[in-house]
Amino acid sequence: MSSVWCGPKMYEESSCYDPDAMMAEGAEDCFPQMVSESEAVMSATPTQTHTHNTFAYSYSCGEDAANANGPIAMEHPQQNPYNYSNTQFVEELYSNQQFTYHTPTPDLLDLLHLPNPIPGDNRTNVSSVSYDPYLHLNLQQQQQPTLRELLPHMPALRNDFPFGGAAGGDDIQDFGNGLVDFTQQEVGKRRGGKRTKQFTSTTTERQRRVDLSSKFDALKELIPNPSKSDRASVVGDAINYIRELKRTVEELKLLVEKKRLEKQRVMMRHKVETEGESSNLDPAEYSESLRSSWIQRKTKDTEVDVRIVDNEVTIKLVQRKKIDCLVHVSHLLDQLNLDLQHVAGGHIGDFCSYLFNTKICEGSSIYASAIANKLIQVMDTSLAAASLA
Amino acid sequence: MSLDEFSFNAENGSNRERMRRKNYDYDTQVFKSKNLEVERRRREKLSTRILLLRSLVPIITMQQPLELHLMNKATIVEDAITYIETQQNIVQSLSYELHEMEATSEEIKPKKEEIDAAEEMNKLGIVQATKIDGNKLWVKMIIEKKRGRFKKLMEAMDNIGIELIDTNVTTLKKAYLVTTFMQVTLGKIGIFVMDIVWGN
Repeated sequence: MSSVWCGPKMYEESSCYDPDAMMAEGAEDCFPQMVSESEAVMSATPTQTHTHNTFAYSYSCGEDAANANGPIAMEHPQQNPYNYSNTQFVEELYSNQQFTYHTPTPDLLDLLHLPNPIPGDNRTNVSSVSYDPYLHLNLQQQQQPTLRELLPHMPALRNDFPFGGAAGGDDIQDFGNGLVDFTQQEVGKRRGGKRTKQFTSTTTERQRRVDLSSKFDALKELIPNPSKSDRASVVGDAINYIRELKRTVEELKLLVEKKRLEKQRVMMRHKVETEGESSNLDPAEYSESLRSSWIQRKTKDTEVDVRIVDNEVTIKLVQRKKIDCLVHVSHLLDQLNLDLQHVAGGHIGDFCSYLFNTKICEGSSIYASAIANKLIQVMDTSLAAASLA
Repeated sequence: MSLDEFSFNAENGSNRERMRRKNYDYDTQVFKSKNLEVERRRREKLSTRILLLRSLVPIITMQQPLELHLMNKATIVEDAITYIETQQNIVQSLSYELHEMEATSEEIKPKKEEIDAAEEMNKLGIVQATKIDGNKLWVKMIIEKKRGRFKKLMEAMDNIGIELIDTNVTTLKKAYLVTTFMQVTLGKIGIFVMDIVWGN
């Protein structure tokens, strides 16, 4: 039943008839339903009811005004002469409705049908009145969707406006940021511009030159073997000497640390021996960092180059004068606790050139600058002696 | 500052030259450019080294205004002097500490050295001598490796008056291989050398 009601409405909406045409179609809808109900009661077969439904659809689909007027005229004569038959039709409607809702219990339906004739009549009137409100409601519903369709558009537009407003706000903020940055830059430039160098001199030019010269002389005196006396050479020698000093300090620190660890190790050994435990010796071992150092020395007649890697020392000795330097060097090596491993060299013209490979004896803590300094001293002493002789 | 003044004087000199010799522009230009280039190179050399010195020395004596004294030559040299003296003091103190620790360790570990002259003479190895020229000798010796042995050999050679022209010493396990090209000034070369070596 409800589906039948919905179908024509959809057609009406799609066809977009005039209000008068719509009213006529509504009347047509009422008539075919009544006809179908009467036929259903007479035949009591579902197939025939379906056929009638299709017939009703065909009527609703019709577009001729004459066809529309026809059903109205038919409705009026049926209602006027057969008032009793109308009431019977209404009762049949109720019975059909109840039947559709409670098909498994027909006896109960009959019982319900019997005590309701009088209120049934009232209900039929109410139902007949209710049909029109449904139609009106349908019309209102049909109109309301259009309003609803319009309403959603309005919020969208409203949403657009806030977006626009927000965009405007962003623009304003950007403009503000630009202004702030620009002003900050201006402030920075101004601050920079305000800076002025103030120079105050209390000494004369001559005094300044004298001071600078005395400082250069002091620097020259500190360097052990100056090569030349001009300022560029003095600064160059100072640079080399500073680097040498840094290397020497690093080497000495390493040696001191190693000696301290060795001392602790010896103390541990003594404790172990006294206590009589021999298992602690192994854990007492420690790892050492590999030692590496080098130094060069030059004097008028002697040039020494000392390189130390771990406990091996390589000494290169070049002397301008022709004297027997092997004796002096071997003596010095014994003094310094250096174990001789390899010697190569000899006299080349007026020069003596030798290369020594030695090992540092265990327990000794000689360092590169000490070896170089002592070698230079010994060579210079022997040269002086030779020159005297 | 003095260098700048010197360059200023040089420019004045070049201007005077230009005033005097109007007819010799080419010569004047050559002279000017040569002198200027030399001076410029000299100043650049000194400036570069001053910068390097400043980078090496961690001490920076700051006075107001900052940008003026940071690159002042006098301040840079003074800081370098201070730093060198500081480093020298550190080296001395560390050396002293090392020597003290070494003395202590020597007391803990006394090393015993026993020398037996007879055993040493017996252990002395092969000595070969080949006469090459009038008074020149090529000698090959194999000596037991022991502390002080090489020193004694050298001292003996020096005492005799032998001049070692070319020497090569190699260590093999516990032996010295000494090959020497020497010049002798006395007679009976071979026997004399052998006696001296054995006697040592």
